[in-house]
Amino acid sequence: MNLFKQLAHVALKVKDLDKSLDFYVNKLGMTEMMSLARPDGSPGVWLVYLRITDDQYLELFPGGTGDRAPGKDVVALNHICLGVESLDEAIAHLKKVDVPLTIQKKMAADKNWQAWIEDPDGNRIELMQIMPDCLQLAAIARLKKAAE
Amino acid sequence: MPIFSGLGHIALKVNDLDASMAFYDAIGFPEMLRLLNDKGDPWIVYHRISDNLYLELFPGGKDKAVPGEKDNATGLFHLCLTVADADAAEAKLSKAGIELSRPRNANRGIDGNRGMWINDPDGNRIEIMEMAPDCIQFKAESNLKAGGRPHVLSLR
Repeated sequence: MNLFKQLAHVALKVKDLDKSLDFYVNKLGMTEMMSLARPDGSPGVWLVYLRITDDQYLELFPGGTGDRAPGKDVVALNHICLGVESLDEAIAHLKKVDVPLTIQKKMAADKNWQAWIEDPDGNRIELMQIMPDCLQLAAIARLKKAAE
Repeated sequence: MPIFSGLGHIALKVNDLDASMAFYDAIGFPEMLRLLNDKGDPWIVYHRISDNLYLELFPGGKDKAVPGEKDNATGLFHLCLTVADADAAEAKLSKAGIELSRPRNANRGIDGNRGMWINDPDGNRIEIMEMAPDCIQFKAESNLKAGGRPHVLSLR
């Protein structure tokens, strides 16, 4: 069934919108596209759209309750992964903008290079440089072959 | 230069792996790969969303479900998947036995798009959206490309 075209956006509830915007826009380099006022007319921002690509956005909704995003063992979003062309270049950039790596660069079980950071709410973000011989691309090729 | 080429995957910690796999398979994302742990049990199951975007399911999640929308818990609020035709999508979902999580509003949403909502087995909210060519998101993007400032809208 070919129902869906694309994962269009991921929406996060955030505790402190300014901190999240500083992280995703000023440090990670996403572009702010648009913000919407609350539909019920109450003061404040309802959500801000950040551009990841032309057809993928990150939506930030302020007013998150609790101290932090859920830990990695609970039923919840476990992490988000952003693809990079060059992990070394991405790490150099992150160093320049003072975003610490929570897990250093390593070759993972899937044969891709990865490193990890966290957003201000503790959402885990994997940075991945996909390698030509990785397990995912081999799996995609198998799916395509099976569909022929 | 942009640092990121795009979203690579979304990873969910799930309570019942079989239920989650059946759900994501039913909505058109087949299993493509699984990695086993040292006991031979599934560690990560990968489902294909597109050739360069995957969903990773990690079994063994504590708790039965994610917080509800009204809890406003810091963390993932929802995911959104796009469709070419919202009516066809609704029919396909119904055929696959997937119920909408709230009654569908046939009108265009506040952003100019048509859509509906479903929940995955853990209660993760999934928005389904047919994006209109003149929706506010595409207008904001073309404005950025033309060198404009981010749009700030009040849609009341």
